[in-house]
Amino acid sequence: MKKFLLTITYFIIPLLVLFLFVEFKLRTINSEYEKKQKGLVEKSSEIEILILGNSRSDNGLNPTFFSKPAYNLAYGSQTILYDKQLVLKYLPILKKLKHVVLSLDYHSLSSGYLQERDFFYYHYFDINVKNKNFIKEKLSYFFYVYTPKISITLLKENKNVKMVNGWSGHDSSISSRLTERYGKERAQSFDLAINQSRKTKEYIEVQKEYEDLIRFLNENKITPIITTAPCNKPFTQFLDEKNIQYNLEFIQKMKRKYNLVYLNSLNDSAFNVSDFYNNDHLNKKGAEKYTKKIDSLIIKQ
Amino acid sequence: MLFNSLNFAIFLPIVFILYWFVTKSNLKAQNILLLASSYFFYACWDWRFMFLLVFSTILDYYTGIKIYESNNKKRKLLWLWISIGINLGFLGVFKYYNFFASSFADALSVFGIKTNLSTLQIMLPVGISFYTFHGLSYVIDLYKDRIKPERNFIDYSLFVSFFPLLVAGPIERATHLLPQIKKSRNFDLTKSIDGLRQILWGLFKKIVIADNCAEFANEIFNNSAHYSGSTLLLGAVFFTFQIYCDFSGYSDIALGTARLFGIDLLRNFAFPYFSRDIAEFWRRWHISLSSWFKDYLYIPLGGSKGGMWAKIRNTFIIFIVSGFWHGANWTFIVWGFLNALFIMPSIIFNTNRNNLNIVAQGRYLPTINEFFAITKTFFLAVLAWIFFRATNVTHAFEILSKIFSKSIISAPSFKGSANSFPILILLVIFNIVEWLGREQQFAIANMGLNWKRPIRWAFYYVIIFAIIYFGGKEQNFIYFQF
Repeated sequence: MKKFLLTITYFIIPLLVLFLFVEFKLRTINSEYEKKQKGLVEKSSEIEILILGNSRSDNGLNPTFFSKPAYNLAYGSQTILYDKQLVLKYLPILKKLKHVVLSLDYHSLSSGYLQERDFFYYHYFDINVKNKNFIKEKLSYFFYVYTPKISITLLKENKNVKMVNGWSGHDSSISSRLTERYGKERAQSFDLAINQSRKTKEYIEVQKEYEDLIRFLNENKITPIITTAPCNKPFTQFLDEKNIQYNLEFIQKMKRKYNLVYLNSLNDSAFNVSDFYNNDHLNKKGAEKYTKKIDSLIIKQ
Repeated sequence: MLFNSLNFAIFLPIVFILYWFVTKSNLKAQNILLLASSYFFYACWDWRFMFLLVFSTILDYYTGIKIYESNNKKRKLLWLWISIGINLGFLGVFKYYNFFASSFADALSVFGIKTNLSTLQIMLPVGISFYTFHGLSYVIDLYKDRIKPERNFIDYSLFVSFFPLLVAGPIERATHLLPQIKKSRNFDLTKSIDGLRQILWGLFKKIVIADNCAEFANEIFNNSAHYSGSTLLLGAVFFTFQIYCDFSGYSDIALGTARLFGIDLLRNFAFPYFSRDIAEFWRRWHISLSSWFKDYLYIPLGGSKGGMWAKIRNTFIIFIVSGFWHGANWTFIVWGFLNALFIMPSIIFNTNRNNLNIVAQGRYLPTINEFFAITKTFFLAVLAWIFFRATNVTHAFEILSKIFSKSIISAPSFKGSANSFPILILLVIFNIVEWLGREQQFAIANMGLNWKRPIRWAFYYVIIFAIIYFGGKEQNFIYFQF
């Protein structure tokens, strides 16, 4: 038995050392969440326009093209539930805030909690939407915050993305991702998620939270700018008209009740294929166009 | 609690340490600890079904004693049927009620009779098919005077509920497991290290091969209407490896875990995809179930005695029942029927015991004939697995009709196919390792034993890294649903 335990111990030690090293590296990795949070606090005294929402706003709205100081706090898959918490948390330090840009994209009303990204909002923004204890995640980033596969990719790449006012953007287009095939697949995956979400309570909760946030902004004399980002035709042609109509009805209802501005650019012909990074995200060139459009709306206001 | 979960990785060392350090050399304490751990292991799934497990254990323990003590043959038979009836009754309600209700309603609707038979929202208690068969073999063996009843309730309960085999087998026999439970067990270094190696290989099969093949098989089977015959055939091949590595991986972990406690379980798989005919395949696939059906169904039905027609009839019966055992769906029944059909030539021409030895024993490569025989058998197994995996029989026939169409002559392409190349490479490596280890109990049983320690350990580290790298979410084992 002694020999067995000793052998097992010797065998495990190298694994344990490697595991601890990887854990340390993962905990000190460059995080875009961290950069966004730090940048926001740094610039909080001057920000007049705050951009929230998902990857379409994260990629598509470049704060430098607004005529007033702006900051991009949108992030991939960020839903209205997190947008609301971010506003509640940071509004006290955003003294000059006048406008908040919110996403209302095809899938926005069906996107609620983010199981796998909850931890990042907790860790970097101190936001805990589900009041979880995150014991597992705190114990091991390798197994529970990321998957081993993602961890290895992260450690290999360890990208240090340059961000200006919370924005980095994509330089060019991935032509292979601009095809009808990918457009159809992407649209189908959204439809599947929307249909599944409609069967849950979360679907109602998202709309309620959306309205709560608009009301809260109005009460604090901040104008919500609701945007539907432009997407490439090979993608938009496969979207379900019923879902699009549902979103429009929701926004009309909000417009009747609250002071807000809405810009629907989903099928805006001003955007062509060279403006897209992939079928549903803009690149830097497209982001400039899109930001300027929203900026002109704000100026009109 | 899944074998491939962190919970099990914590549970197993705790039980192991308590077993060898706290209850050391006290057989009674060791068995109580193993039984308590087994009940805890089972309760982690759903504690409510514990009652069913305990009831089934008490039933067979009690009826077993009654069968043995009855002097009257009729009374013996009565106790036997009480046990069989209640055991199969539970299985029928929990596993087959909805199938019979809907099939009956469908059959009546053919004659224009509409029925209002409602199906029930019943959750299948995990492992019910396995522990029911443990109990049945025990009472049948008692009735046939093959064994004496176990008077120690703890020992008997452990025979039924020993956690490595509780939820997905191997289906043990009282004659094999009970004597081991009753004998004092001392720590055996070689056996324990062998057990750990088998656990490692089982995890590799499950996490690296089965779970990755599942990703592609699911995509192809779930969207079969969009794919060509060649892609569907590739999907069936992915499923063929998925089910083998999933189930035999589970069995390897079960056998390895039991070895850590000084107990040898029945072997469940013996490299079935290297079989030269379907008869050999069935001697190597899910061995504990095949032999159960042989001993408790085929032989009581008359077996091979009574002429060719009886032999054919009995073969069809055990294969169809075996299919039905897997689940309440016509796909499993057709799968069983198809296997019976495939085995028929060797039954009719009496060649079913032609390949009793290990293929290419003592050689690196098979002969050309052996190679073609293995390929043919593998292809037949792939065809049958299509029924096993398909949503319904119509779905299976749609897939088959595409496979046997012109679209078979095209390059396979499916969503995510670009990511499938590393898995195909892994499958090739896996098959080479399995081929090299085919004369052993499991593929890496002897692999590296003569290598220097750093090289041997490096080999194990590579397997561990592969398991960690490919391990995503904890995936259930397919056979848990049976």
